[in-house]
Amino acid sequence: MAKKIVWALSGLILIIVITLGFWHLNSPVKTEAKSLDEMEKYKQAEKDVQSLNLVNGLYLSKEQMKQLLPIVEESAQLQKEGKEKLYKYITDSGETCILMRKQLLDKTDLTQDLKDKHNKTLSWGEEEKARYDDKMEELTQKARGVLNENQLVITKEYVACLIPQQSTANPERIGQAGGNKHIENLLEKARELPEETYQQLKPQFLEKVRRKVELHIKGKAEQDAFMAKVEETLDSVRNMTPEEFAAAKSQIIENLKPAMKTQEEDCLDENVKNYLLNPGMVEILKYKINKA
Amino acid sequence: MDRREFLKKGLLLGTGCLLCGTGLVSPSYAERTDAKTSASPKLKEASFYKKLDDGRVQCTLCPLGEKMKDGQRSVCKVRVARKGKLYVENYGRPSALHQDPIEKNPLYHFIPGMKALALSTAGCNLSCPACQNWEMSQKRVDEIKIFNLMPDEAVKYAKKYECGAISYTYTEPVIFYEYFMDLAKAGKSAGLKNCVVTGGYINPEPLKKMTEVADGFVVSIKGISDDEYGGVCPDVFSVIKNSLKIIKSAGKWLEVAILTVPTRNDDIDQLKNIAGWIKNNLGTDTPVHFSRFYPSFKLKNLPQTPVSLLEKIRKEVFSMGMKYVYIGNVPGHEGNNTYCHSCKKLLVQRVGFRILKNNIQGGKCGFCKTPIPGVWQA
Repeated sequence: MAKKIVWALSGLILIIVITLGFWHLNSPVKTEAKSLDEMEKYKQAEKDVQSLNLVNGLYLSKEQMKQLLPIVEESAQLQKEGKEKLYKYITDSGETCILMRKQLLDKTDLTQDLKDKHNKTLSWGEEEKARYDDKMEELTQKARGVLNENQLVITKEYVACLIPQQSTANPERIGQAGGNKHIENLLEKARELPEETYQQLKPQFLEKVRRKVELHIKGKAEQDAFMAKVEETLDSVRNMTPEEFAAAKSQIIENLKPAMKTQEEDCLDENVKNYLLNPGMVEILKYKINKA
Repeated sequence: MDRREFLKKGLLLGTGCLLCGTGLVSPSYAERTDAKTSASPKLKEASFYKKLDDGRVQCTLCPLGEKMKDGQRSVCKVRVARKGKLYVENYGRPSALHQDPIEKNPLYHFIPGMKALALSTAGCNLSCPACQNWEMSQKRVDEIKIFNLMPDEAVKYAKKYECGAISYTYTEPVIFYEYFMDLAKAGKSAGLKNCVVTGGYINPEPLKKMTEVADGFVVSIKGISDDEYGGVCPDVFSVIKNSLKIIKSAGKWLEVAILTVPTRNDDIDQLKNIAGWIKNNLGTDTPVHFSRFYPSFKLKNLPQTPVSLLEKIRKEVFSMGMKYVYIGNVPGHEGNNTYCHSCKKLLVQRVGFRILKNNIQGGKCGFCKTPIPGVWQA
């Protein structure tokens, strides 16, 4: 009996050792061990994908890409220098802080030298930041100037994504039957549920929608009004004939959408800065110019 | 049951199953509805056919001119011969029903931003390999989900949901001719516009009748060779050219859409030839849309049309003197916009099927006051 227990315990220990071994191989500790450079590389790749998903939907001409390239190159240089200056600022102000701490351990005030040094670093940082912002703004306006009216709209409305947007990858086409399948399918499901199941599931569904609505619509009263509209819509589509639902669904979906969009700000400049003036765009544009 | 009787019944049953399987005695839709031919709203006598001496009927709606014996179904899958008459199975039975912007037809010079109740039925007299609605166009009525929507009901919904038009689209309005005619008349009486999106493979007489009730047409050209239309119909492009002339001479608004499919009809010279024909026969005011192909139906192996090719052909066709040349299926492309042919300023800005700006005022350019061809008021 004792022998059996010993064997069982040995087996258990072996399993634990193997499991721990595998866990260690995939452990977050290892991820954390990755160098900052690697993390930076991954972050840049993510940003490049987001830029590509915008650029692919803009259908930039070769000429436009050629015009954009020097602007993006200048922006990349500016961002690189900005990073170096930021590093210098953090280092300088950090070193000053170390000295400040040392002095403040024993005194209640700092030496004038140190105060001056701190103020100098601070004003240098502010000046550099202002210079950087002004230059970025100038480049943003230059980049905007390359885009035509439609490209400006696409850029303004772009929401960063890793998976390409449907409007670029597989848009709704001329003469194609059907449209916004996602919301349509949701409404179809709401129509098909038996009354009891529908009443059971409705609060959960509405709660999910509310969580999304809270991200887009500001103000409790506005959120409540929108949620009342969603609930009313769900109830009303259940009472429609298949024919009426088919005829009405696009309008129902449209009526639900604008409420989500009205709260969106004009993101044009932000999107130009973040995605078109992303330093990774230098390589992307060079590649696309060569291929065009 | 003794052994002999068992074998006899088994053999009969097997033979029955075999015959049903081969379709020889298939309980087809036409036969199932035979008893209620006159009363059922599902079957309606066709408008264009003639009775032949040998008991067959000949459909005269499209140039296929099919001769059908009793129980036989047409190539378009919705017409069936029964006891010396030709019936349609798709009357009041649309298989697709949506609310679409008029731009989706694509009608770009026809009351921009107007909503249309868009519908179609199963079946088609063509079988284009690039069809994007093949799940409907290549099916019979009884093979897909359908709605029951008589003309007065359709008009009621169009009005209720503030549509300014009814679009007959997706598959081929020619094959739901009878439904189209009744619905278009009802729509017209209710103040709705009727917009037809067609391949144009129809005989002159029924087409002329269509033009009496329709307000706008989009004729879709898939190429000049019969292969681009499935190879079932002979001399398709000649028929389409004739249809285009009939629509134009009837004074109806007309736009032409050309689906540009890589390796099949993307030859610049060929596309320029088509554009040249349009210019000479329909005029430079006729808007032409070059649409991007997305892999579909029998052509899933082909890539999407390069946008650069569409841009090139658009430029070429503009240089030929055509005033309004568009790029389709590339949402956000400036080739979706309407620019004044005179002052070149932006008149209608489109992103996808959305209208963002409309600078046409009273049918004229809002900047230089040049009249812009099209239908601009409801």
